[in-house]
Amino acid sequence: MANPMTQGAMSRNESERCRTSIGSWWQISSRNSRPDESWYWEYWFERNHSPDLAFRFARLLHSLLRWLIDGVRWSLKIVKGGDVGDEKPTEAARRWSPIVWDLGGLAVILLSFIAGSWIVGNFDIPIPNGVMGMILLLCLLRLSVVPVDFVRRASAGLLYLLPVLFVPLYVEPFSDWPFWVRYASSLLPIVAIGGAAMLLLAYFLARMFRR
Amino acid sequence: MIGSLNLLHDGLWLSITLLAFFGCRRVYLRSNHALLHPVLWSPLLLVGILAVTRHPVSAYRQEAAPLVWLLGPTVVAMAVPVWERRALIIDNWRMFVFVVGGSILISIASLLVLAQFFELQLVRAMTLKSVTAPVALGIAHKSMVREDLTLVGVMLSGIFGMVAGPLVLAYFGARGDRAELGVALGCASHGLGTARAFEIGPTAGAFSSVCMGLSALAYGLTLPAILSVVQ
Repeated sequence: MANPMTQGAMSRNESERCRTSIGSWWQISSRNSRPDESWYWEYWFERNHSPDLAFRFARLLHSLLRWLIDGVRWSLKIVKGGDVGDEKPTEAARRWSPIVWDLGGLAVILLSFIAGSWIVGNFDIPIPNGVMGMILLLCLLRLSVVPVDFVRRASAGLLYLLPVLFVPLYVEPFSDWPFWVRYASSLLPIVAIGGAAMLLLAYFLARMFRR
Repeated sequence: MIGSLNLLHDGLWLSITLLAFFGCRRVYLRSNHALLHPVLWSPLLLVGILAVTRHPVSAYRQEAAPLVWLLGPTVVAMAVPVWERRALIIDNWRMFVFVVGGSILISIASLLVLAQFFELQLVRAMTLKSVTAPVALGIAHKSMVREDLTLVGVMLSGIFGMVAGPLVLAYFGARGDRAELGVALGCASHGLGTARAFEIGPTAGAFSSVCMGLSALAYGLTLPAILSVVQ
């Protein structure tokens, strides 16, 4: 009866021999077969260096779709505090997420405004629609229904545009010369005296009560 | 076809408005002089363009209506800076309550005093001069106050605060990036004052924007009721 230890050693030797033979076979066969696989390298060269129009278009479409889908997926991962988790943003996410976030934030602001207008209109509350919308948005932020990061950029964009929004309103009084002839003598002293009084009152009260 | 031409026409006047504003803004940023603020000069430029092209102002107002409509959502957007600075508001709540409450009382007092000397519709409009324009317009619309007078009052008080505000306050010792300066500018001169406060420094700017937002909220909640009594 053969010693099991000796048997194991023999089998190890056999396996080593086998491996060596497979290795040598692979070396030989790969050396032999390489010229026959040249079609593959030609194809690879074709694909990477001279793609036709359809291929180029398909690749562009594919990458666009990937950008869009990855961006949306990454953007929708909203957690409290505006963090997006451990996942690193992909190239697509970096390109698309600000747009998606801005549109989402703008939609929240617009919806708050529309809801505020609806409440003021239906319940006849004597405050401006925008102020009611502002209160609603503050409630949404307080209840963490909307993370502040979601609306920050849209809000900043709207506030950046704020001075432009007055321009069409100011055009009408500026073009109305009789208006200025009639009201300038009353308007200017009221604004100057009232403005100075308000400035000083606010300044002294702030100085008294500031912590 | 006609619809698309109308859309193109409206888009043209919107583009001219934006170009006029950002052109004037460029000049303002280069010169950095408060009197060259684009809010003052771009409407004048547009009035000139409208006169040269013989385009009626009423038609222009309709074409630029989308920009005016955006004022409502912009008021809502003010909630975000107020929310982000809630720690500042909580720390200084007493100051904000007294300043905003005091400014409302001053407005009511001025309404009662000035009504003895000037036209009532002018005085009612001037009560709103320290509120940011979109809120002032909303209150004016609700309380049957003349919108053109309200707008001019808001604009003039903004320009007054921007140009003369820091000079007046410097006379009383408020110099540099101080919270009190920002509070005064935000309370008396709303958005234009806040822009000036941010030029002075970040502390003044932050306090000014909070004060402007809180004033907008407080005026929006109280003044319509007061103006409905004084008619």
